[in-house]
Amino acid sequence: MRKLWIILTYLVFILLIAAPLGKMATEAFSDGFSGFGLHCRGRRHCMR
Amino acid sequence: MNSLLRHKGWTWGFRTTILLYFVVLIVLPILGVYYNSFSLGFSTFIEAVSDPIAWKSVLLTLKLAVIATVINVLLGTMIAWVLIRYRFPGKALLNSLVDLPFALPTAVGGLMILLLLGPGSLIGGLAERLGFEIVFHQPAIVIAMIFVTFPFVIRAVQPLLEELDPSEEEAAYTMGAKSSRVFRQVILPSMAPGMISGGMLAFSRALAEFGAVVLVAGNIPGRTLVSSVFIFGEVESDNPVGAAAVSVILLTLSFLILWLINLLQMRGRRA
Repeated sequence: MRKLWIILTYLVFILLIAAPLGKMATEAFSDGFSGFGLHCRGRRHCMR
Repeated sequence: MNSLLRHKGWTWGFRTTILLYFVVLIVLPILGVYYNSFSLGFSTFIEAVSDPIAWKSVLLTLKLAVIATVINVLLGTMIAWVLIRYRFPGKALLNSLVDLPFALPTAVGGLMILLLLGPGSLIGGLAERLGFEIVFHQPAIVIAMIFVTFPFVIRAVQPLLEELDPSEEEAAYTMGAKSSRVFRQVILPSMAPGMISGGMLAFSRALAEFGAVVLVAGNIPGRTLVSSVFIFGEVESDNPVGAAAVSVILLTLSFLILWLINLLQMRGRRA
């Protein structure tokens, strides 16, 4: 029973926190590390 | 130092500062909203509130906030229990992740849900093929509400479980009670105040949620348009009275909930 509660807790954290965070990070780096922020190419804050 | 602070001038100064702070930050903005909603008369207020889009948005917000709160109370209590009672690898990491929804801008929470469950994503696409619609439908709003209110119940129940005297449970077991009965009659009553106050805070926060919800709701009047987004729309379309009328309903509900929490906590302290 104890293992089941721990697994359920991990599952909630994975579904609610880790998976959305992971997906957002994947999306941000989808063009590779050098492509990070390419959408704002030419703007000063991205050129720094 | 103490005698200096007890001096009449200091006491008066402190009181005035606190009162001024409270009036400027809380009372004046609230009075402003009430004044604005009734500025064109009570009949205009009723007209604004009885607009089908307005009251449907209020009812939808209430319904979804209740669903999100019930799920949050169940999950939050389970997580608080596991984090306090069990030792397992990664416990400290999970404990620190609890507060992440508070630290993140709510719009980021909405964006994360949109990216994970949106139509173009793996999960969103799979759900769509199975006939479930998540993003731009009510389930996405509930998920967004659960995300932003996630820490409330956990952080309210954790200290109560920490303070719970193990000898009470041991006594119950010694007297032959089964674990389910010990949970119902010893543990649950100790956790209940935290579950109630955390749940109510989560409910009032869910009622007010805007940033995460606006990105994932679709905002279709009568179907996925919640009150906060409705208010934003009314302000944008230059109808401050309509926005203030719905705000008054939300404000009054939130105030009643907070007042109830205070009342329950005061009774708990007396008992």
